[in-house]
Amino acid sequence: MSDNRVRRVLIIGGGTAGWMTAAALSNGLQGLELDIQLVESETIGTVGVGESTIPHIRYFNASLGIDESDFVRRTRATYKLAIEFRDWNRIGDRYMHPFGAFGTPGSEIGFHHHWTRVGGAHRAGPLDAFSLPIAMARRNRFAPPATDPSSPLSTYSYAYQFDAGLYARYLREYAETRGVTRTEGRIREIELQQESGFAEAVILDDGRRIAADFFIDCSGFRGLVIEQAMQAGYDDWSHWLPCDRAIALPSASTDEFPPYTRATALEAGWAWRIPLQHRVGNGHVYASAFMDDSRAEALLREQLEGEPLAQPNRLRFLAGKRRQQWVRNCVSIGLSSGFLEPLESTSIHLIQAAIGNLLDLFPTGAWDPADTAEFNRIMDVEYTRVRDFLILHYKATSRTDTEFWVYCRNMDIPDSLASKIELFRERGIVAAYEHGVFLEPSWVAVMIGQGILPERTDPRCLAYPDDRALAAMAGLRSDLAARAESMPRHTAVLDLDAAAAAAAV
Amino acid sequence: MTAPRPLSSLLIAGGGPAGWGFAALLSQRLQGAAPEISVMETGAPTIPDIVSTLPSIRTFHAALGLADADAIRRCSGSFKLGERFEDFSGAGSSAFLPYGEIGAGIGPVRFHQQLARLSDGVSSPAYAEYALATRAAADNRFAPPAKDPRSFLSTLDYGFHLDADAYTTLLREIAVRNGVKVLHDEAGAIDYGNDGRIASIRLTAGEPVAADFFVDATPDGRIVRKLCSGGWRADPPLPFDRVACMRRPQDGTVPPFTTNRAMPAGWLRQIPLAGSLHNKLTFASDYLDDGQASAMLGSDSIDFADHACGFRPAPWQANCLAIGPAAWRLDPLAAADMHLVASAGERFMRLLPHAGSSAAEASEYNRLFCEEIATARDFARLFQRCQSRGEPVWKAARKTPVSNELAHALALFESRGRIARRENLVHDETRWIAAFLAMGVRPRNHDPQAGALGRRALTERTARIAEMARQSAESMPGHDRMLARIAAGGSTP
Ligand SMILES: Cc1cc2nc3c(=O)[nH]c(=O)nc-3n(C[C@H](O)[C@H](O)[C@H](O)COP(=O)(O)OP(=O)(O)OC[C@H]3O[C@@H](n4cnc5c(N)ncnc54)[C@H](O)[C@@H]3O)c2cc1C
Repeated sequence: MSDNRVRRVLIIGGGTAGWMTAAALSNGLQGLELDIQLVESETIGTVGVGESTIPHIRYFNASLGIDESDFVRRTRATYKLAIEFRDWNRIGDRYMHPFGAFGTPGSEIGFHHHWTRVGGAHRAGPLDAFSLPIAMARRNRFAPPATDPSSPLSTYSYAYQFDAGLYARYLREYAETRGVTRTEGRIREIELQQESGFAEAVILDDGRRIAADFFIDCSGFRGLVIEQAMQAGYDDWSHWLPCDRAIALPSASTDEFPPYTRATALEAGWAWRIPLQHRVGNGHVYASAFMDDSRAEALLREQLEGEPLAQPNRLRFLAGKRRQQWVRNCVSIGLSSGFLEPLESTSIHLIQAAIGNLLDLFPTGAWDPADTAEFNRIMDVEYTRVRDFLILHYKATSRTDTEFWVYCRNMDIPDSLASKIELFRERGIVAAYEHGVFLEPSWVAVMIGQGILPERTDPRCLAYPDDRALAAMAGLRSDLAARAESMPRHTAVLDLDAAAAAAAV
Repeated sequence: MTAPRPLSSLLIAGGGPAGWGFAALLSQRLQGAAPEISVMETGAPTIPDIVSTLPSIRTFHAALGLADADAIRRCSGSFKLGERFEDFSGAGSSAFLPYGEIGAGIGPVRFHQQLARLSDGVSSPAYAEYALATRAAADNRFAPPAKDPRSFLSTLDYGFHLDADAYTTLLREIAVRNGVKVLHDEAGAIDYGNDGRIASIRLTAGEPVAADFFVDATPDGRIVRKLCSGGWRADPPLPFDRVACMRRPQDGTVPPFTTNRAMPAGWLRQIPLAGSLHNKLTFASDYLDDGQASAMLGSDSIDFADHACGFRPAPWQANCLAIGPAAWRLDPLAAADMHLVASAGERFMRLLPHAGSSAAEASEYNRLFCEEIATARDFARLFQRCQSRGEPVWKAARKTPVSNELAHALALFESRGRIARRENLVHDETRWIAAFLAMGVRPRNHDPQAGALGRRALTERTARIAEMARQSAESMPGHDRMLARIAAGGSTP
């Protein structure tokens, strides 16, 4: 064992990425007696967005031993079962991408094969009708999935929509209790060792110096250490994902709390609606090459369902990924490591994935290039697989109403995605991979939702004659509707959570 | 658009374990959607060969409804708890690569990291010694794993050693029972349709046999070779370019494992069957000629063959899928042939084509096949790459180029004992760890997370696991007794 063991860890940045990292390290590496410090600057602040998640966040919280009711109350969270996409393939279309598979779970042949073969939406009804989480979402219902794996109620999953600022505060408290020390201040400079190029310390505006063995760059878009000091480089993906700006504008809650996020395609981008307990998060992600800022703001305001609660928060970004997310003794996590637009709520998941890999590959102190290569390799795969999934939403469109959509329809796409689309179109096959956020049901939801229908299906479907298959589907559809109908309203569940948390205090 | 027609006929050319294994699996599993399946076999006498499998064979057999006792009884078989390596790290060295679990992780900390933490860099008590399979194998004991996951006996896993001819006959019986037809003939000329697909294959007498889809399970890939492109991707050749096989009757104890013994110009793989020992010497013809090899094996009736590894990166071409030797030739150390046949069958069923074009199915199949076969190839290569013998031929083996993936996997393991993430692994992570350690690769550092574990508690815990492995092994019957019971008509408990 080398004796230059990593003891002092400096986390740079106190946004969602910084505090998630601080919480996970202070919990997961307790026995290492690390000295974990975090520097953040209130004058710089955080991006202040990032409120919709995917189900993996629950495992993150669980690994920290966080109580769900307490978390839901303190972050003013709502439950999330799906994302609704409006106007993506054609204006007027809508479909949902649910957290769960379609049809009867556990069958060997994917439900979309049966559904396509009997004639798809024309004869069987929309694919959406064969998903329990969608049936629940449409009715504003929520109940946690059953734990018995043989129950049909066990086959969906769920995530949260929460206030990112409150989540960061929650995790800060958690991390500080476990010994993380926070320093308020603005970093002016990074000190590097002359020969090795390793980072040695950061210097704050007031001259204070904080030295460390290992630096975790959570400084947001600027990539303070990973880019400005380590010059990791950036893979620019904006020719595939041309949106480069956003305006965020919260509004007052309406009566309902939909347990899903909405993404509505607009003229040169799309708008999100994320219902929280105390407000609705709204925003418009758009491509500045195709739309100016004032038009973007006007379109966003049209989308609001309640009174605006703040001034618009304007953001700029560039789709892509840091070429190397870990260089020497600096690893980047969060926006400093790359940016993929929030269309499928993946950023917080990518933070979580990076933290998981960091725990697995925590530096031994020997700084072996194989270790960093493995981290970078794994994160590259994560990023490119999410990237392809996002590009699919833009590519698979019939819209020609604006220059933006014409561009997207016609743009070249990565080979990995092109072949994936081709396989699905030709034979309903979802190219399989083992590691990656989005598995077969997600790809099926978006491909079919955006009009890519298989020309051929699994021939094994032929063992089920049409009329029998249609009858079974009709039965399933009403069964799912009835099950959803019998579940509690989402608002009622949120009230319960608040009560449970209050009782626990 | 006319509705695509499902496959109505499937012709498998080649009646070895690959052809019949594939036929048996499809006929068993595709009931209802099954095309008419025929297998063309020559019936020519084959040289005695052996099937030495991974534990995944159990899943394959379960799918076929084939009981362990039947496989053992019919194929002069024995159980396989792993593989022993002798003299690979220099004369006198010995290591066992067990199947099943080895120790137990603590949260994210793998068992070998716990051991490394205890020994802090110094060579640790052999990792494999904590596996029940290792202890049982050392004493020539065997019992099937317990089903109750709380029992230590549930940590065991096993494969088989089976006579290849008898095994083929057994698979053939299952297939024929399921309605698969047999053609006694040899695949000859090919008739093409105007779309470049195969329309029919000629028998020796010139008579055409038509089918919608063809599986090339011939030893030489005579059908797939004639179809367009893709070709054969040869592995960078190791000096070991020839094999000699010989089977010798043997009484006495039948060990429940395969033994590999490194020698100055090659290595000898010994696979125990009931009543005989199958020997396979893989050697470098530059250093040892056939005569010397015969002398070494002490026999005149030896079958020699050239040995080179590689695979076909696009085994699915038009309406033809190559499996078995037509699609891959792996180093015997991979022990993966039946695994790959079963996985070809499963994948083919998942991607079951129609009678018309199947470009999508083929491209997905070929992509996954390449990933999978490369992991098996690299696993076998690991032994040649990491052994530490001093002879020039072994040094040359060490220097033979390996894939970037294997080079990275080795560098990462040497750095911190971690197995690089990879998809479609044929040999699971525990097997990779055990193989590196068996070849004497010692990580320079351990997982820092292991450093958080208390030394005292960890010492006690690992000692307890070792003790449980020892006691559980002692409670198992002898392998010979188990085989005798099966031979007498009993089944495994
Ligand atoms: C428009 C938009 C919508 C999004 N929606 C979602 C969503 O729905 N779901 C999702 O998962 N993700 C979403 N994201 C992404 C999500 O917001 C981020 O992944 C998340 O907030 C993490 O940000 P961060 O912590 O990396 O960076 P930031 O929040 O920018 O934090 C950076 C930190 O670094 C500190 N800092 C920077 N420079 C210095 C300095 N010189 N000295 C000291 N401190 C410094 C800052 O003070 C701050 O604390 C969205 C992002 C955008 C842009």
